[in-house]
Amino acid sequence: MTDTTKQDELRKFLQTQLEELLEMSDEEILEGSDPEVLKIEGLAMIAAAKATLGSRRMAAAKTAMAIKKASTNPIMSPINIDEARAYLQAAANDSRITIAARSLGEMSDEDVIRIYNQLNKLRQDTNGSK
Amino acid sequence: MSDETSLSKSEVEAALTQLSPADWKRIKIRAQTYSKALTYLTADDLVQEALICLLSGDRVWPRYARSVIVVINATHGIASNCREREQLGPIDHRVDISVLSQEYDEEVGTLVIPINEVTPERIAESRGDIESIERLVVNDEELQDVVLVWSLGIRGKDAAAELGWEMNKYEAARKRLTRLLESL
Repeated sequence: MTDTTKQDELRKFLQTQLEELLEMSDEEILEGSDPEVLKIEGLAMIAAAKATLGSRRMAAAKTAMAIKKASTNPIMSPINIDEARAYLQAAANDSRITIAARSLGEMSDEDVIRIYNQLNKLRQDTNGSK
Repeated sequence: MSDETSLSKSEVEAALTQLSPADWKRIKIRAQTYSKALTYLTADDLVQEALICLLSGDRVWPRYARSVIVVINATHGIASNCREREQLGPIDHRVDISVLSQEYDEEVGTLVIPINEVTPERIAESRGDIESIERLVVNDEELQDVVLVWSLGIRGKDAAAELGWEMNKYEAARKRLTRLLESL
């Protein structure tokens, strides 16, 4: 017998079983079972399904929020070191910021970019909180 | 959203809450059968996923359909989808992987060991054909006969006549088969 024939037999078996189950009286179906227990188990399954559904919705919302946040964050373009030094030089003349302008020339490129990024972030945060 | 043809989410929940104990048992028996014949998922998992699909509205609940049939059809849909994924998906569900070492080695990666939680018998049982059911009744000739006529699509009085049985003998065998499937 081919697999297809056997699968077709299972399909017919399932259809026939369903028709029989629906035709059997409730009394016949319930024989040997406690209706109260069946009902309680059923309601518990509904409650569990609702709880799972809630958790999945929450997880999906968090993922969507994370994706949105990632997509709205500005993409940092490569920083030109000369522009970063000029930016810090200008900032050193801003009375609200304390930068030892005289030491700018002695800073490594790495330090300049780090401070440039920190200052940029500080300004974004300050503007955002207004 | 409800419309003339389907139930709203709140109506779905109300319909599920009103299912009778007998209908819950019908659903349970069907889920056990699907679990045995179609997938590695348990009957409870199948019903749970079906309820989630219905409550979320992912699966439409036809307004005038009998509730027990809607839930059984949803359970069948979940079982069939799982079976398809098990057969066609990249993951071999027969093998579980346990991490042997928590340390990651750049050359060999993470050490893992396969664990066969699903036995060869279970794989054979759930391969989606009538043998999955025949195997369950191998020690009971009468039940084998009932499985045979059902697999030909014959039931009720026609099945009793086909087997040359009195109706009460057929009904007793049908009840026994139903209980067997329920108890799996």
